[in-house]
Amino acid sequence: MEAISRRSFGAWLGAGGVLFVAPWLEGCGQYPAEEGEAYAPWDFPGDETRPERVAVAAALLAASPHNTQPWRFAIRETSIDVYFATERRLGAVDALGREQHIGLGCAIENLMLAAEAHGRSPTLSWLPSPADPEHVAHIELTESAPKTPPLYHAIAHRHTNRGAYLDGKPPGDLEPALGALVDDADVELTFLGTPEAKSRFRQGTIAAAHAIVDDQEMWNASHRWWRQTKADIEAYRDGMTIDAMGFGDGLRVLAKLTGAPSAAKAAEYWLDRTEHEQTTGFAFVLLSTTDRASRPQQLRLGRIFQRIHLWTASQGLALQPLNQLPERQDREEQLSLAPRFGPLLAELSGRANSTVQMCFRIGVEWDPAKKSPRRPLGWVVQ
Amino acid sequence: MRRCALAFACALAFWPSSARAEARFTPFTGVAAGQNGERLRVRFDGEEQYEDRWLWNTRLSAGLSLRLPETVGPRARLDSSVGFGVVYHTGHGQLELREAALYELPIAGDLSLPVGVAPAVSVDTASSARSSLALAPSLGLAWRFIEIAYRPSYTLPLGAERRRVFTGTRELSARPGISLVEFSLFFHPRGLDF
Repeated sequence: MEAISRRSFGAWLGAGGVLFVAPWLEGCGQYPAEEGEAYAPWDFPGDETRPERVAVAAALLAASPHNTQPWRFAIRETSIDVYFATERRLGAVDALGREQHIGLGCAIENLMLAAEAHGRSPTLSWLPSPADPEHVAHIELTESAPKTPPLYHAIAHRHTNRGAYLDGKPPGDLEPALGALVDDADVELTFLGTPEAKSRFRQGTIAAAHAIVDDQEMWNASHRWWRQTKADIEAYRDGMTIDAMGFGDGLRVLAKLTGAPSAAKAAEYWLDRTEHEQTTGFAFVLLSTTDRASRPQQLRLGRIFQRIHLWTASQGLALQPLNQLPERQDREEQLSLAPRFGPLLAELSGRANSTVQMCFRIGVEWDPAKKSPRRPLGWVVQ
Repeated sequence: MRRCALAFACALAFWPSSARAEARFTPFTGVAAGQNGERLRVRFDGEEQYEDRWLWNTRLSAGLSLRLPETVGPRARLDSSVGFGVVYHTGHGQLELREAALYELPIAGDLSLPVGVAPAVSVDTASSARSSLALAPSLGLAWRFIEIAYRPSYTLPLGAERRRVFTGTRELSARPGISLVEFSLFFHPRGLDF
């Protein structure tokens, strides 16, 4: 008999090819990373020219817990007011509102840098209305010669990298370089770079992650910020997305095709990643203040954290906040539970009592981070 | 699609056991799965550290098999192929050019063991600096027009992505050294001989 014709052989090849690349085709729940209006604010400063608006456009690119972006701004003639958007509270996962105030501090750091770069000299007052704790800052802007701070250029390139880092020994001058960015007498930086200290922090963080998952209210509060589909991302422009989670491309495609994980399944994935990729790096870093409950100190610490994050971006280093331990510390305090994670943080920070506000890892990434969605200027300016 | 499937099924069932005597070239196609080794290397303070990772890939390939003259060897052939696939973790395309020199050791009937060498150049289409050269022996098992092959390799990187990081450097490249996971399945439809 005559065997396969050349034509059908070609068709067979073509059919095989289509099957092979099918997962990469659009449709079926698939969508490309970093495309669409939700990512447009990263084109900073874009078309904005008025310095006050450019400053707010920079602020909304700041880090925030679970990418909640808990901010509102009022742009006035010669000033900007910053408010805590309380409807965006994280709930049980940030039981004392500590992380979101740090996030507000992050936004203010970006705002101050951009104001200076665009010819406005900023004067900052924290919590200017004692009767209104949501009014977290008032920034007076006076006209001045534009002066570009070195970290200004990192604003649009700073992304949290949740992927794997090289798990190695930190360069000797990393700790002093980070320490030099802390310019507040109430804020202290603890650098955990030895194998022993890293191991203790890693084990503690993994244990705290398990405790978060076991605390149904906490885990549900966290999972509420998961954005699975393109429609969700476009509608909310906040929260945690598949693309920003540090997965590889193949896994991202699969995750988009398979639909939203249940809270229980998402917890499994998160624990697995905490135990592996997300506790790799050169070092873990703790930021403490003298008074853990102080809102002004949390806000000021937020500015320092954002500065550190911008600096790491400018140096080609990767960074990810790892706040499982402080989150459980707050939860223990909120529910008057027997202290388990607070004492560990105290020990790691070398203090009798923990005043740790923020933890993160730093290192050299395997893969670059992806952008997270952002609420545009029109949504955050009242 | 149905015609293709039917033709393929017919080929499986009724394929002649030997190629036409005068034939020299046979087109073939294949599918392969393997692991790419990658190495991340950093240098700070004159000290180097590195880490390796293994990433799954699959490829489709097409090529021509040249049956060598009897004077070279009665069952010797050269397989030249072009493959294209994806490294799943990075999402990068992978273009592979492979030249295999094989000798078919007969076992029984239509069953044979094609063995030889199958070096390949693998080009990362998203980052050419991650490309590599693989020096690979090929151990196969063939029955009529179907052949499976195991091709472990010694990989030599052909470049590296380099950039400054803090006070040092970061380099990402193919991992130099032995890669053990590489399996291929080939179809040699001899009716297309020429």
